[in-house]
Amino acid sequence: MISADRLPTVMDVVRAGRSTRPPRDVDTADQLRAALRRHVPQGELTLRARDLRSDTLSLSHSSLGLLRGTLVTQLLRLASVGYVPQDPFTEAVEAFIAGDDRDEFVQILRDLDRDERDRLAADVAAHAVVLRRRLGTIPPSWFPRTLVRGSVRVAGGHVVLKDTIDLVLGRRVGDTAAVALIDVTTSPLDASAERAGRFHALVHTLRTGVAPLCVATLSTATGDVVRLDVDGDTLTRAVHDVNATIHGAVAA
Amino acid sequence: MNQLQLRHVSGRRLSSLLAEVADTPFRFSDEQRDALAARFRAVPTTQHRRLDAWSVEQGGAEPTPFAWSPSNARRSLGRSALAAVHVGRSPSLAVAVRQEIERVSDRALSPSIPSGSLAVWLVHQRPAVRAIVAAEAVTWATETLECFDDLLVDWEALGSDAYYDVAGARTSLRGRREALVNAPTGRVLVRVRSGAPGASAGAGLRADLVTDALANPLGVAALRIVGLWPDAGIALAVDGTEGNVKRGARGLVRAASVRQGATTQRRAS
Repeated sequence: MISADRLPTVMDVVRAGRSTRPPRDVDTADQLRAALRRHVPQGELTLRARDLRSDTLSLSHSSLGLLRGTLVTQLLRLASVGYVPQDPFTEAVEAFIAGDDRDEFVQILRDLDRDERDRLAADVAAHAVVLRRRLGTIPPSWFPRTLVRGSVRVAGGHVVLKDTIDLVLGRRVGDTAAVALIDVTTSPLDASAERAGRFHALVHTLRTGVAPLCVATLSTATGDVVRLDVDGDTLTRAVHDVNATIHGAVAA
Repeated sequence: MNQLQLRHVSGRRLSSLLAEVADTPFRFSDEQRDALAARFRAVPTTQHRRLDAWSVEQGGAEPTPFAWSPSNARRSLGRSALAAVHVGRSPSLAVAVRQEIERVSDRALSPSIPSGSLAVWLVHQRPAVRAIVAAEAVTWATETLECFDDLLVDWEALGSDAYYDVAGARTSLRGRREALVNAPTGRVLVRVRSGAPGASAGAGLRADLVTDALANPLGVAALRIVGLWPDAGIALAVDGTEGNVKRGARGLVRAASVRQGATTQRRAS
């Protein structure tokens, strides 16, 4: 039996196949932009990765679930600069409030009674254990950056694709694809995680002009890690997902 | 060329913004500086006013009270770190940011440091918050470095913005700038902003262009100013022509005027 500590970490998964990386793709972005002109809605439509996820409402989509996800993201940001919290919940809260004390989740956090707060703290602590075990150590030489935002207009400017990548590693200069996008979710992974991964890859390609190498998703609920290699087919499917969503909005 | 030029961010397209620049940028004469100062003096103010591209883009709106946070500390720390790595003074952005945070925090010990400074704010933060500040700065510097490498030319990281105090008008102008590219015939400035450019982005770029020209000891405008919006993958550029510089100056005077009008109205009510 393999213990959880011996399972490959996100860093291992991203590092895999270093010798067989594809060449850097700087040509696909224009084709994608052209393919996204197929359906043009009236007015303006904003699409996010969550719009492509499954519709099932779960704890992860409740206020407390979203708050938990936000706090786990703070722990990821701390890990990106090599900071190891002694008290994950307290320090994640400190980091979060310092970022924006007017955020609606800060108010939700302040409104929690003692019992709710302790339950949330226990929940975050459990996710922090999985994050620490399954993320691995992020090398500073991989240029880690966190909460990288994208806001790209397509379909003649009528559709805004908005996205935030939890962690981006690697640089887009060089002869081979080297950028990895990491998504950390507090939900279990399902089929919609792959759709979200494709969306992340699409927005990154449109934003930077260079296709990423891969998208890796870690669930801190289960410890599962999946890697989606990005190629032309991945990006074409992402365009199809977006066009289908736009078409649905236009038809409605 | 007085028009705004737009490109999607990618190496080839960005470098084209640097390849074809005007030969002779506008140059402020002493008379033109005096005339501009007179226009600012004609807009009375009871307190010192600060104007920048943001004021122009917001149509002269009063800025909200400033308070330090990880996200607004990132540019200051990230820019110094970027410069340190670019000249080989630091091995990585992560190390450079850590060193910069330590250097800035040390300044808090100085008796002359203002209480509202970044140094004083930083030393009062908990370790986790300082780590988030570092994460923000590393992210900003890395994303900026990625954009600059797309320029495909040698660039110089600028350690400070352009500042110009208008004589006798109690007015300070600030022009944002992150990097300088030395073209054979003059300077090209590069500026980085978060978010996506709005309808007034061109007016903001012209405001930065004119402030940089006024701050230049010879009054020479940059050949071009390139604005990068990495979040949106968009680059906009305006040339340092007389037309653009004059429009930039008019935008700043208008922002001062609108702000003064709003202040007068607020007092009257």
